[in-house]
Amino acid sequence: MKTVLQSNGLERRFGDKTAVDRVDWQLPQGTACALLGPNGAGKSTLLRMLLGLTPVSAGECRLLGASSWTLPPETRARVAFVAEQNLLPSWMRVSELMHFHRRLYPNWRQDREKEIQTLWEVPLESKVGQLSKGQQRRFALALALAQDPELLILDEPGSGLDVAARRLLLKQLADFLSDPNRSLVFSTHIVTDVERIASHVAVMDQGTLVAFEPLETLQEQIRRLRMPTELWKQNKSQFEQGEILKLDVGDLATTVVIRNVTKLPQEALSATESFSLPLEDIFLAMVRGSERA
Amino acid sequence: MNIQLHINPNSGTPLYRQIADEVKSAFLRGYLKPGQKLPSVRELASQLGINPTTVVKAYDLLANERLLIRRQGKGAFVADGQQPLLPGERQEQVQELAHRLAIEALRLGFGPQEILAEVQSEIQKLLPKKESES
Repeated sequence: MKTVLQSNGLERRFGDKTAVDRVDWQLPQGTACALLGPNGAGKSTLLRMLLGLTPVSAGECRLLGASSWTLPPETRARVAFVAEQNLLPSWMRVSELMHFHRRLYPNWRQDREKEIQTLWEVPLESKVGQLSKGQQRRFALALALAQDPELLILDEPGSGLDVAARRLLLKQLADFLSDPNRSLVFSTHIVTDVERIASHVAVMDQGTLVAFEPLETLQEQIRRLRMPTELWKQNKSQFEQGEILKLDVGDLATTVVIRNVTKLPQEALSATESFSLPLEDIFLAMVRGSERA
Repeated sequence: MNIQLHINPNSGTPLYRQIADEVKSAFLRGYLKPGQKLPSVRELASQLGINPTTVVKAYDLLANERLLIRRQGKGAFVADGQQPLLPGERQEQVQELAHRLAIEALRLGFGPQEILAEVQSEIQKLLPKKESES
């Protein structure tokens, strides 16, 4: 299996603040990975280092087999990136920028050009700088999808989109992923989009990659267990084998969120109720900042 | 082709399971007929705005339970035999489900009559009026 994205001991420091802390990560081809984490967890910095847009403080990273910082133009042309802020030149007309892209990208889908106006509702004759924030965002996404890249990287693609545009994006991402050779990484706060699109989930917290697993593994292995508090006190050490993410000990009942329920001895589960967690609760349980919730 | 499936992300049930359950219930309600072609993986993924591998997983599950038949190069179809499983297999599957239901419901403190009433009400929701009365 080919690796489309790879980092070893990747670090980025700003002064005495560590934004990204020793991240080891490998993304296999064909993966649709959601990158999650609280604000300031280091998601954007990680993506920008992988794309070679910002230097690394330590470690190394590669994109489609090439070193990110010295990415050859041929490799760059096989990757599309949409940043959270608009990076399109504001002085260019929409139609000009579109034609410019057509010449720049070998896989350019000319048949998608008309969608920019019809589906994404971006007026072709406007200058990029005159577009609304939402229009700029839609235009950037439409351009990225029309490049037909092998690897698509989106930083918060849902932000600034209205409901209809978000649905269109989900539909087009589903189409994009129908070729199993294509890969996607997207950072997001919208948990329902994760469930719709992601095959894998990477969770960042305070600069560290705290989880990278298939979505299904997370959904099946993380469980909320409820039991009489007496039972909890007797079997505490058994439950600790499954890594406790969250604990709420009441007078009578105790609720515990377990990271890996398959690691628990069978007898520990016999007198407990076991619940699956909505994804939102799974992520809250995984990040240390969750105490404020 | 739109088969009008309803899915609910973030409900705690994996999406592939929701799709499989929706196809089964559409079949029971008569919204899907035996022999009918199902949307292609690509079509359904695009319609629902979800990852195509999730649709593949749902179709695999339905094919394993013989509710769906794949024809090479033609797509997936609703199985047409009345009883897609062998009699022994059908019996086994329902027994296993009943067993799990009994265990779970008793553990949650339901009495035997309450459990039967829940099952009855689910059946009524799925079957046309006449059949459930008989």
